[in-house]
Amino acid sequence: MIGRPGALFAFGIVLALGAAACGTSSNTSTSGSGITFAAPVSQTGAFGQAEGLYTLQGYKFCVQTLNAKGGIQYGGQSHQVTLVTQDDQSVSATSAQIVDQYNDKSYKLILSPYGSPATTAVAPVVERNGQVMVDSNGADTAIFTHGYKNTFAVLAPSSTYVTTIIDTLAALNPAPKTVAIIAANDGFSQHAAEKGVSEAQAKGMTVVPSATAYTSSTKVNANVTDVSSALIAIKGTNPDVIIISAHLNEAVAAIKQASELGVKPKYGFAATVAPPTPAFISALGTKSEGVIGSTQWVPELSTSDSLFGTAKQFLSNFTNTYGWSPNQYPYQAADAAAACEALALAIQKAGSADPAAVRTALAGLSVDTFYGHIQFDSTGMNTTKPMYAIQIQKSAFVTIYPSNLSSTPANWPAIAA
Amino acid sequence: MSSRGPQSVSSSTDALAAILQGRQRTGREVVVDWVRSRTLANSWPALAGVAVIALLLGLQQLIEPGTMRLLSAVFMFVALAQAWNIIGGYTGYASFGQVVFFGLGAYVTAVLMNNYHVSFWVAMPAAILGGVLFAVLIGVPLLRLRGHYFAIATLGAAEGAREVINNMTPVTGGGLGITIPTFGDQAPTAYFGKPGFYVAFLVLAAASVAISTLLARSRFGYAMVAVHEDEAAASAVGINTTVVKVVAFGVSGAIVACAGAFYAFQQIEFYPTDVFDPSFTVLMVIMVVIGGSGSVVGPLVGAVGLELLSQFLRVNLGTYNQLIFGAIIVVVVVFFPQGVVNFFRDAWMARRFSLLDNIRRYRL
Repeated sequence: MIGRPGALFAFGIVLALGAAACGTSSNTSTSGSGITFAAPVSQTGAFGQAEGLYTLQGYKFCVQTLNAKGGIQYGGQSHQVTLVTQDDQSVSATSAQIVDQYNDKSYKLILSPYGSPATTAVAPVVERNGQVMVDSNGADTAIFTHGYKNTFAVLAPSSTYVTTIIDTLAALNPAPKTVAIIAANDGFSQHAAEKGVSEAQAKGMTVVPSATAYTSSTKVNANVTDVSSALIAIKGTNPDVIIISAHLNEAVAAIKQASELGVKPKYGFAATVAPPTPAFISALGTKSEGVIGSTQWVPELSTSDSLFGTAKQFLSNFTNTYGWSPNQYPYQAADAAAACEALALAIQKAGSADPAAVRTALAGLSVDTFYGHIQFDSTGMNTTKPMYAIQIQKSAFVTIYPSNLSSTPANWPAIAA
Repeated sequence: MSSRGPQSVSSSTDALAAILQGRQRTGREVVVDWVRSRTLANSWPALAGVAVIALLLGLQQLIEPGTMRLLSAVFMFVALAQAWNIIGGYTGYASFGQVVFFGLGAYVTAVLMNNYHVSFWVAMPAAILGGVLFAVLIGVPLLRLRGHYFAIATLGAAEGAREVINNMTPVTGGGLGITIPTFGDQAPTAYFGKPGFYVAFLVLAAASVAISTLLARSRFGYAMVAVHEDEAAASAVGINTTVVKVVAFGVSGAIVACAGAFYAFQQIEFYPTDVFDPSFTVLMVIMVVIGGSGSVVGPLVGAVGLELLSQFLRVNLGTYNQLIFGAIIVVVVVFFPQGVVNFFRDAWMARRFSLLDNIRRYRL
């Protein structure tokens, strides 16, 4: 650790000189020192082509919008934001290593990598280095059970992913009486499934083949493209709905292989993370039709903020910038933009980019944004934010839950008898 | 430094006589012979090694903690490559499942520290012991296979072990991952921090190079090479090939398990897919093949070169970094099929530096 205090001191002087130089050279005295947001993001590996890309685009879009609006305002000055990113090759240990190297460069304000495993690896590093991280795409509640003080997640935790699907199904007509849950063996998917089973039982549904099957016969490995063993375990039980608590690869495999193996739920399929991503529709084509998915964000939300405007304006500006169809938008980008916005709002509130002050400001943050309400509990989770559900109809995401945000009814049963 | 090099033994005729007669030397004889046989010519690798370690410890005072972490990874791969070289290079049994020891080492450490609050200094030796026992357990049946069959069997063993760990959720956390407590009173051993892990991985790398060097120059080392060259002939001259293979596999497994133990403690939280990742094995193999198998310097050069190159490309090339990394590996393997170090050693001795000649020699 030799040299750290010296390096920090020197960095402080450089910042102060930079601020002074900017202050004297500008006639309006409104341009302050720059602020760096640093993020390890997957550009290659398992998440490189889809989820990592969406996250990166969300961060870039946020920083671009922030700077276009004059940067972060505090102390009577506006501070432009620079986004620094590095590819973590979808390897958690590399994410953690990158964040350590950011610390060498005194990049203290961190935006999370994509996914729970990488965020889990980064959180203790952030804690030790006195950095502060806003988590955009790591929903596993386990991240928040270790007493870390410097990690805050804008997204709803893993516990709500399957419960939201159950609540959506319970409100449909006909409501399913039996559901089967296929769950990947990662912490996020297992935890989501566990809470989903309780919710299904509370809503009077029977979980087949058994309530604990998600831990045994219908459990599949994360990131695999063969889930046939789980489908075979389900086959004889004829569930009304098959729910997949997993990521993109497993969900795509489940729906493809279900038709190959002749496993046909009575009403339809639902899945947690995969359906509200453009890659799901492009991978499955017409087989994606009617699949229900829980999502962190929908454009029908009524809340807004001064940075992105309304949720609909965010969607329109974001999809125009990156060439997405407004009918197939990656919600992970909204998560990422919201995390970046929360960090900016905390800096503004703190009146400083000092990580300790930003951490305190984040802990006390309570704001409405295009993404919904952002407020953190004592563990750093945004428990105030609900989740929503969409259904894929004619290759477009249609919001079907909750009913007050839904303008188009669900196509249900999604599978013709 | 290479496996050929009987000079250290032949310089003591008594020792050679003892070996030729098959007579066991006394401990005193061994020490005296060893001291007598020391010359600058045969001591320089050890002296150079000490100098490099001193240099790296000095360098630590100049670099930032994040860079220490990067170099820790380089040191770890030096140890892993040396370990793979013992079984894959010297003994000629290309294991494609060496990551199994890494994963086991990591999980033995994490389970003991997390579930039983055992000190790291107890958990780490337990991990090494676990690695050795597992090597013997799977080595005895699997080392009867050769070539592709052995490679596939070890690959299967690693995949199978990962699934077992994955499904032992009550003990290992399974797919939910496992956390080594490192904060506050919960920590059975105080976290090393980046400077601590830098030293730990440096010691591990140095130890693995030392073990590899000593093995290569020992009677056992010659036995390993004999098994590699012609197992039937080795057996015919009285070498117990089963013992040689299993011991080589065990030593390799012990080093890899030890690396897994340190890695687990460094990462704090991890999943089975992280520590049983087959890309660890692939990297070990590539580092040894590119550096030059069957020597001590080859894997060292391969590990340092490839890990630094990979990090450089990742930081500077964005999306294309893995593509370019792969392309470089292909080009190097085409031009240096025997490994970079072996090429330069042979080229220096034969005074033939033409790469085209080299390709012809090995390919045509």
